[in-house]
Amino acid sequence: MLNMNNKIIAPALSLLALGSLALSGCASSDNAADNSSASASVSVSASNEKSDLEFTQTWVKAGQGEMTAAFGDVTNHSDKAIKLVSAESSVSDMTQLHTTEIDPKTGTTTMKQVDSMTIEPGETFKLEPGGNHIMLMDMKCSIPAGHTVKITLKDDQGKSYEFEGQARDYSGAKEEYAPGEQASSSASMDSQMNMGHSMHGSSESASAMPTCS
Amino acid sequence: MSHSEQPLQGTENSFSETAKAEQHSAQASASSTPLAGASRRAVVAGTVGLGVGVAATLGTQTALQSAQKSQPKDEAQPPLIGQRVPFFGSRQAGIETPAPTYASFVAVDLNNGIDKDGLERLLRILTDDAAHLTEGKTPVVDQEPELAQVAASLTVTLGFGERIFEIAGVKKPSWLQPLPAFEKIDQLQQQWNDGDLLLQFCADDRLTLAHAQRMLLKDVRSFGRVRWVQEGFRRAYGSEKPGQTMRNLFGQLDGTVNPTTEAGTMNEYVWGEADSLTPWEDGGTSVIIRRIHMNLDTWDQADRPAREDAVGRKLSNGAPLTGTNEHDVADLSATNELGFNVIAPYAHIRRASAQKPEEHILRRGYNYDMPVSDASGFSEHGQTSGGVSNSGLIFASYQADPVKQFVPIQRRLAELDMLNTWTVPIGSAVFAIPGGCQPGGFIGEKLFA
Repeated sequence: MLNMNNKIIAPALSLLALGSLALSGCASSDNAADNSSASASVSVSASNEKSDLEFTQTWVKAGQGEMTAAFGDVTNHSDKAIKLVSAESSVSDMTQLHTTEIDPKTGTTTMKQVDSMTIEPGETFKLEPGGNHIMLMDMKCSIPAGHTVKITLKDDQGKSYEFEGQARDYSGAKEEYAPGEQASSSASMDSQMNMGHSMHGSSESASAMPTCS
Repeated sequence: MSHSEQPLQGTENSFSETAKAEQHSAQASASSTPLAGASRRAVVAGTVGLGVGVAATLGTQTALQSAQKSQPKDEAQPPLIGQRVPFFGSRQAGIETPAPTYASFVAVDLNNGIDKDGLERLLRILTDDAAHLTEGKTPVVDQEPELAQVAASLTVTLGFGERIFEIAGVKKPSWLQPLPAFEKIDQLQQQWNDGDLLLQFCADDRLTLAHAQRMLLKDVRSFGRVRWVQEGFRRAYGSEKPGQTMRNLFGQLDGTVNPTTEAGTMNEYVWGEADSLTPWEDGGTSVIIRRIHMNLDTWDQADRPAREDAVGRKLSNGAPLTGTNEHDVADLSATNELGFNVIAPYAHIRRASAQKPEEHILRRGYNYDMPVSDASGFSEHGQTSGGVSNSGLIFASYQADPVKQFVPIQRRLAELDMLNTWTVPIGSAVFAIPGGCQPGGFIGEKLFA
């Protein structure tokens, strides 16, 4: 189980996640303007590097699993495209940029690591369950709800952008590995336990992993 | 329920039928009548906030907004969509705020393992979601974001039971404990008593309220469990003039003698600025939630004169039996031609009248009317079940100090009050309400200072 993360190539969305993709897809277009001005949020972190990128509505899925994900709206206030190429976080040994694609052969929605995410000037790039997200793997500690997680993104110029996300209990964003991919069937079960069922339990209860501090 | 069966004798501006007929125009125009009517019982919604809406009733707010725009309002915009009560401020909203149509009071018991850090995390996420929802914005993990877009005067107010102070390691207010037993009247049921954390939701739209409650209870799930939920209602938005005293299911005006913002009594009694009172923390107060079963069957046996005699007020407009208009001061010494007190010795308003200067409370109650099935017959005196209905009042009382302000009144009423004939307290809970917060802060933050 510990090694399986190295084998991830194409995790696929479960049916539940597909459902949430469709829903949140509708919602995001309606809400983009509203949410980007959500100054009330305490989870909204300060932007940095001359506010080239502004992070709003940021959050991380709380849990005790081997992996989790970070979401939010990223707005490019600069006058040029920003190409993000890597991510890291102190709570995870492996942090990746992930996206969602539809397999042209099967029609299955598949999540996979990407080399970069490009945010055009003025664009608000949405990181959301069932869509693009920051994947946190090989977690060093469990994230209780309400805990603040720092994530640093780097662009192709070596510039870094840090944001904070408040951890939230969330029943969606259940990723599991696509059958037939390199992850074994046992890994599939493991991942489902980690990403799914463990979220349903109390995030305050004892966990094998230390709690992030 | 007919609003008023008799022609009104008084012509008091706020409560005359003529003024009532104009209430709908309060949303569409800025005519002076709705403004004057609303301001008569205007209540300040929070002390810090944005824009003109802060120091106005919701009705006045709408009227002012209309007045500021020279052109007519956007015809396609329904009135409740943009109706927002500021969340941030030195005091929490939902207390001094005019009460909207629906309320849900939710008591939560926290899990055993919750420590101070866990409590802070919980309060931060509750604050974050409440701030978004009350502004008509979507909280971060909202999976039904469309439901968050109609604010409809939503307020979310947090209250603390004793355990919050134990977890925080902070001395609790001395009055924060269950009320003393009122043995002559209480038939308390454990299912409606106490709780570690109160979430009070109020809104003019039931769907907005349901969504807000669901969002926050999802936040609570890994920290605790729902102990009880009490849902209540008043007249719908648009059915009455803003600021009008509510009617309970007995048909009575309920809450006539309430502190008001204009008179400064809200600050004195609710926020503890009176000489003999001290707020437990800056911007803090308390709430007592008593669930009062009302026996409508035995109330039906009382004719109108008996009903008015029991309270000491007219049912038509709430005027004391010695007066003409609702807010006339009752003359407790007045006698009739036979030498009897006009307001009887056992009348509710006589027994409830303040004996000490601080004995004033803000009543912001809601009616409840639970569904029944397989129900028939009559409910007898003193019974809290039976008959064809299950109705009552969620008596929500706000005051700086429950022991100094509420308990003496309740003791007198428990000892003698004709209304006890038809009412039975079946639940009781006390919560300390912390002050408000500014953006970036969280409700209850002073416990962590």
